[in-house]
Amino acid sequence: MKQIVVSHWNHFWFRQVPPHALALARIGFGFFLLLYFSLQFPTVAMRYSSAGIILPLFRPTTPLTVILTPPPPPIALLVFLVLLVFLLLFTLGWHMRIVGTVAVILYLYYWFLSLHLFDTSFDRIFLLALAVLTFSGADRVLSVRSYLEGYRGVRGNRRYRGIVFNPRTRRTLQYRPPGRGRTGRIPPLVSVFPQRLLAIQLTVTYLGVGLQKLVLPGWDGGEVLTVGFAGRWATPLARWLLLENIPLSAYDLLIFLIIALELTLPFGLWSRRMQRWFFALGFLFHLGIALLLGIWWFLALPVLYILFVDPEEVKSGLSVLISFFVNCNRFRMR
Amino acid sequence: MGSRHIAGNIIIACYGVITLTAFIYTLTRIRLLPASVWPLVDHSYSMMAPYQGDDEWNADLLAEGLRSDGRWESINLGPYFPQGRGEANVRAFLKGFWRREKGRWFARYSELARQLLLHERGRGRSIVSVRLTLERWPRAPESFGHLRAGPLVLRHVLAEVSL
Repeated sequence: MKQIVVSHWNHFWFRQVPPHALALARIGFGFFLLLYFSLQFPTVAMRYSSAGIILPLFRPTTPLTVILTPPPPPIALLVFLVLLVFLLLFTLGWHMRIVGTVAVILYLYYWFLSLHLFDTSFDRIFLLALAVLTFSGADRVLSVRSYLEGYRGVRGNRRYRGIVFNPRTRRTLQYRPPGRGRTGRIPPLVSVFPQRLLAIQLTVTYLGVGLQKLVLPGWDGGEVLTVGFAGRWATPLARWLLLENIPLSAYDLLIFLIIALELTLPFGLWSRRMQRWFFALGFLFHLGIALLLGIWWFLALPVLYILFVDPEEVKSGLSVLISFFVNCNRFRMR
Repeated sequence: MGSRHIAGNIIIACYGVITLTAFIYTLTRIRLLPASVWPLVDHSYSMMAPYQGDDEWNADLLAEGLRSDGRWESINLGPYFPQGRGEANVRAFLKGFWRREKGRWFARYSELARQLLLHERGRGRSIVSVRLTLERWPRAPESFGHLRAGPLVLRHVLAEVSL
């Protein structure tokens, strides 16, 4: 019995898997972070330099915290550009561990300097995801690193980017599933541990949020929504909804559905049969929050839903997709 | 079992304890771990507690500068909080200091006022003092500031800083 438990535990947390799910998460999440910080670019001086009002979490009066002294605007802009460049390199998967580490350090710097005032859960989730992905091996495929590793391989053939193509004969060959293919290379494998850690964190986030709504006062009826739709976050769409005088029972039903979704998402995302439905529901939920309350940052979570999919399934799905495009290409070349 | 497995299991154990503690705190407000590791638990708790409730009031920070002729004039905080209204509104209330500095976070408003005074004087405005006031008014579906007028508005001076 103990051997079975240990075996299942090791299989769940530590087995070697194809890194495609992590790679897709790296690309999607990387682009999201680029968007998140790029939108701040026009106002970097007021957000992160001495030209604005800066209240760091720790007063910059000790040798350890002097780094939190707000810099002059040109320095602040330079540091911010470094972050953007490194996030781009992270997304592309080039020297990911180094650029990812620097990006995490800069994110922490901005947190202590200014982001702590907003004190959000999503900044914390983003930091954790960035740190875990940095050391996950997510750059082993679908990355600049893998392209360069493959390109420097066998002469004459462009190697693994999902296809094998001979420029002399102009013939393409279908991507071969696991094992030594025609390229002679064994596809890379990484530990599933980082993928599990992030997926568990997302699970816990949804579960905590859902259970909290069951416990906290004010979430037992739809009034909390009507109040929220008239608050600081309300968008014109939310205000229009309020002014339409929809009955309170509709808001009660909406609250019930939201809590039901938040309590079932943590389990549905893991279910292989129901996953795609919960992916869609989760995306619609976060889209609704973005449209009604202007809180769009949690749209990063659906981007990370790929981490709930079995890594082998992600790889075979990508293979099918690549084969489809390769065959389309071959048809066009004829 | 290799060293990687051992390290991985240690990480899982630590993560599990911190997450479970944060979970219990989320639901019951009971602190199970000592203060030395509480920043980690707080981080985990904050990841699962994004929106805990709301009230029926809108609030905003009003900044005013005292001119040398004794008249108060309003200062536009928009350039200093260039984020969207929701985020700017939260930031203006220095939310990040609430839990960490408990009853002492009000003192941070004096710092905010002092920086505002210096910046405004740097922009050429001849003001000698800055006053920060918290204004609260009932919410209305028409707009954020629809009822921000007259006797419905409650005011509370948070800080006043002079040269």
